[in-house]
Amino acid sequence: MIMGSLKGTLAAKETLMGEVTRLTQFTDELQRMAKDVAQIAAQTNLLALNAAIEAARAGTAGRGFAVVAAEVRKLSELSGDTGKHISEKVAVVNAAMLSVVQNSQQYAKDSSEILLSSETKIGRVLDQFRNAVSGLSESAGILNSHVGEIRGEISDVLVNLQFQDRVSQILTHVSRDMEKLNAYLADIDQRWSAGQIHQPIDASSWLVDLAKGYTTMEQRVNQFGTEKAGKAVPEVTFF
Amino acid sequence: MSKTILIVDDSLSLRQLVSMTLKRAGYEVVEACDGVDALSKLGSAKIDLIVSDVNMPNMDGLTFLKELKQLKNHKFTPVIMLTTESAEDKMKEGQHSGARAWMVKPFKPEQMLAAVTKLTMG
Repeated sequence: MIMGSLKGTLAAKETLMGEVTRLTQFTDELQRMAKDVAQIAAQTNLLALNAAIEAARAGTAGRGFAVVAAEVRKLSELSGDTGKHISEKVAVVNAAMLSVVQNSQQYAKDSSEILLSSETKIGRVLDQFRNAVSGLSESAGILNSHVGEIRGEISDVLVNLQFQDRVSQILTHVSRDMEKLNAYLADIDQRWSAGQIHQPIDASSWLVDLAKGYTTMEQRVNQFGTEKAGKAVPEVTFF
Repeated sequence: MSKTILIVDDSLSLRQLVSMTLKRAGYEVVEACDGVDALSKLGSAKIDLIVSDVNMPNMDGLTFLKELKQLKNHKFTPVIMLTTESAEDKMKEGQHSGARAWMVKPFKPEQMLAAVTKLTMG
């Protein structure tokens, strides 16, 4: 849009210059006409001079004619001077217009160069901008794919952490049972030292107690087998 | 206006990941580390749904659920229980105590989000 308006301004200047050049042609014509006037005046002057000579030859009879010839001569000299003045003024106007045309031509040339240079620069900036946009779009695409990958990884981590939670609960349960066994053994040892007879461990009731603390299907399957472990509930149940 | 979810779990990392998943989906989140902490945070915001673990120290999830249902303001607040517990009798206990869903670990984030969306829509 800016380039269009600059080009429009240049075109208007070229039209104006065309008009000035056309005026220069008129002044040339005026110059020629002024020269013609000067030439006619010179010839009239010559004729007046000849008439004055002829009047002198006629003597007294030619006296009146001599006065007219002198007046004609004066007028021709005046016409010659006026023609010269017109010619001088036209020369001045012509020189001024030539100067305007030359300046305008130089200005138009400069403007064209500036326009060309601006076009190149704007083109370069637009190219850089296009490259930057394309780079940004590419980066956005890469980031988007990374976001997708990260989301997938977060999902995996969440699932893994839950496995860890299950394992941690099983281990806590095992650890509590080991502590219970340890306390039981210490008690037996104490009774043995005191000479008391101790009852052997009732493994089945121990296991029943152990099973009460189970929270996962894996623990029940390990102890009772798949068939007796009971029915596992679905992953998600709505009530 | 976005819905607010209370997450109750003693595992900090699990809580944070569930919280992140819900926040990305546009929910507001309040966190608590056990049943006692959860009861104390009920007044901090208008809670639209609770996601609670079952096995936790201080107060486990089922006890918290029973206490919650005694409260006038939260009698109808939907609760999803997240648990490693897959035994049917425990699930029945959760159901009778007023839970709206029973989700067995490990669950995928999208499964949890689907359950949360389903129960907050109604």
